[in-house]
Amino acid sequence: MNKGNEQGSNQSPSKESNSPPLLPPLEDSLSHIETELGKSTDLVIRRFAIYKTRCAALYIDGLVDKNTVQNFIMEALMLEMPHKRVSVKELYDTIKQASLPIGEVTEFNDYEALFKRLLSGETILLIDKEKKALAASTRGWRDRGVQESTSESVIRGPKEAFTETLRTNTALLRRKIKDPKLRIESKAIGEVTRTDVAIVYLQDIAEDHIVQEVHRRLEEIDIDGILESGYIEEYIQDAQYSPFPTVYYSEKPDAIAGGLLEGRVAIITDGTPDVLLVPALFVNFFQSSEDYYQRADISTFLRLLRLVCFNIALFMPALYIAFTTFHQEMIPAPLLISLAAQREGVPFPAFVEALLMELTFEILREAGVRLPKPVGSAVSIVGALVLGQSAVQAGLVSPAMVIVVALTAISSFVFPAYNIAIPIRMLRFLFMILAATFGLYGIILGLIAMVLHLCSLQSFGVAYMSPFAPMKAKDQKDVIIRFPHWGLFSRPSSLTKKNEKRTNPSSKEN
Amino acid sequence: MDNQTISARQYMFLVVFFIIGSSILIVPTPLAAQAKQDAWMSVILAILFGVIFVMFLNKIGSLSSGKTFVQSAIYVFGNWAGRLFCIFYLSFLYILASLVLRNIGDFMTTQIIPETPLQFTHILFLLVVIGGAYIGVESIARSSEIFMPWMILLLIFLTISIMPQINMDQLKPVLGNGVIPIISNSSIVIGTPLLEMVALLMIFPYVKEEKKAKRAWILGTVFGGGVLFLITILCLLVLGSDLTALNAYPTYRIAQKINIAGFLEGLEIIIAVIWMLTIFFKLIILYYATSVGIAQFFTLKDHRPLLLPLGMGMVVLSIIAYPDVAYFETFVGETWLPYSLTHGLILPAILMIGLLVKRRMSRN
Repeated sequence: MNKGNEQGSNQSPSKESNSPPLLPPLEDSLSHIETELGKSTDLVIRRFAIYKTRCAALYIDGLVDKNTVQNFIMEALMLEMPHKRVSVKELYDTIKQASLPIGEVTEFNDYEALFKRLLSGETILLIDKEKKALAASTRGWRDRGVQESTSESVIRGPKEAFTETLRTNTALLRRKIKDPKLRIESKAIGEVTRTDVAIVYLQDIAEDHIVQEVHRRLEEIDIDGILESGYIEEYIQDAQYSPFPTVYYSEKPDAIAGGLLEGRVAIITDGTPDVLLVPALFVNFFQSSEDYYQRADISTFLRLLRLVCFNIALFMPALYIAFTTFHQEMIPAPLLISLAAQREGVPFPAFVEALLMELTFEILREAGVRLPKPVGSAVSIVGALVLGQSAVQAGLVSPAMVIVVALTAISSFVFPAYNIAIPIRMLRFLFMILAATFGLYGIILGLIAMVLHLCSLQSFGVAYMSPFAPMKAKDQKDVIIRFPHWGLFSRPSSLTKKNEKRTNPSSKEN
Repeated sequence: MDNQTISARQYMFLVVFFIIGSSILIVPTPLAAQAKQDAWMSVILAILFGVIFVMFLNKIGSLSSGKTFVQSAIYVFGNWAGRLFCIFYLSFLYILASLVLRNIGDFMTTQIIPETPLQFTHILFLLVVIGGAYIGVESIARSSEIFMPWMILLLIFLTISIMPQINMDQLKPVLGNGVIPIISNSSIVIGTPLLEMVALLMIFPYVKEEKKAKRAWILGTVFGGGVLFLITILCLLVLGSDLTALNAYPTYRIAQKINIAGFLEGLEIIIAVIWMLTIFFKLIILYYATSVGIAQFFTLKDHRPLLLPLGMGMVVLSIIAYPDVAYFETFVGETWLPYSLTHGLILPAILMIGLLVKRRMSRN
């Protein structure tokens, strides 16, 4: 696996000599390259001569910025080079030191480096009878540009989102954190795709052992291709067989920068706007970056609301089943009468009714995601009118059941992190089955089992349920209750013990 | 043996759950039957005993210096005598665990899910317990931290919402039957949760700091005893001693009486949740202690392979342990105290003497 540093501009010639060295006669090298790339049509080879010394410039069309190639390589070499007889060695040194007005020029002497650089958008310069070659950074391709976040929208706060280009993403983070201690380390993962992956952290805040653990786990990945950060997530997550996510991801630079300031480590993958953040604790999935931009009181209220919604989304249908099937005596009499009247004529037991409606909702939801936008509204009409209203009118489900399912569905959308809703969606069915077989007894036992499981999880050595279990009183300031910023005096102690102080409480005016 | 540690605070929570678990179900009835309206004083007396008893257990804990009960028994009495000694201790834990399981099974099948067979309630409960014992004491202790705030909130809510039903006259006449029944009845509380705490000597070595652990154990006993006191006195105040003595589950009954603004009723579910939580923790501590104890008995490296077979046995044992509730009440009233005294007080006392002698010998 190539550990070459992607942005290292002053790198010495690559020391990996496993790959064949460049063949000195120019035409031999070029034919070797052409055979390797199989005469791909996007490979451009421009042969030219500098006072009878034959040279060639190679680049991949579409990956390079043509203006740069035109103005700073071709023009500089073909028009501005002195036309006098010099040795190959001299010529090479002159080009390297004086004639390429480009920021990043690297020299190398083997084919592996050549292909890696060529295919990542650099322009390769070969000189006849010279064993070393030069690569000039001319990368420039079409990308989406920094746009507004679509999957995590906020009312207040920065709207920008990461893009598919790694370099843009690291720049977005650099712009937020102008600290020399911000470390960006790169790796190429994937035997075939050679995807660039950057590990970003603040050296004086993040714990060394966590950073090393991230490196170790990324090192161990052996796969042909990485197309999205999800590939990496599945390789590095702690709990392989848990529905709960132990890796956080976000496409918002401010959320990631906030995580870095708390001592977490970000993993940026080229080709995807979703940046991973580890270690991830259970509570992180209920916190939005917007919580820190709104005032403390409303943020606390919203966090409480999210926890309530977590419970509604997980237990509501199960509780409905348990109460209507087993524990009617626990429902207050007027409510019981109203429920019983609604259920009159419904041919299914409550469990089947709930299962039907929940499955219908999941189908609608999936269809809503997949359908092209213009047809999307059809789904809402089918969902709301046909299934919701007609199912009740046809006497297939009771109106109370529709309310339960609707409330459950809405509740599962309030979480700022999409991936915490996934275990809820799946476990909901498990709890429904438990409720249908054992009633409340089953639900409570299921809850105990779930909490035991959550307490056994870890994310990169940090207990998943901290700071609740193990309890850390000092960290409670920013979990459910968010203190005002002057009260967030230290970093979460479960994540980092370095450089704890965040603010001076007396810096608050008045 | 796994290399897990728990904090002093987690240990305290485990002690609280251990004391409340199952005794919250079965203690108020026999107490009110014999001590009448003064039953609450018996609880206070028992807590005082409990504190002294915990000091005694603490002493054993620190004398064993990081060994569990089973390990130090084998260390003190040698391979054969030590193991014989452990058979008594482990069988006590195992039988106690089966009885605790039966407690919750009885309650569930009589009050909450009457159509479900006892076996299946037991099997489901045990599956969760086995899962918990499989992932280890660390996760068990951590989940106690998650559930403790909820239990406290539920208890506070219960106490506040039952306030309107309280009748202070139910406690009169104070000391109407003299002091003797109060003293003799404190044995019920001593027998049921307090002496059983000898099982915690299997967990004690996992606590990180011994000094803090000792304090946590005493605090936990006082706090757990306080909850028992609260529940007992609430039963007396709301139901009166006669009704408390007649009901199999008086705490459940008082919760059924809650009625807030004519709408919020049926809150007995709160009590059911508290019971399930506390009994779960009591059972999982006993279960874990038994399996780890047996593993150490046979010097196995891992207790996990034992979990499933132990559970199979427990389902059967819990059902054949007693035929019906009437039998159980006699059992708790007459048999349990001598049984738990033998295993909860005399066994550890012998162990302590052995440890002291062994220490003196090694010094010389």
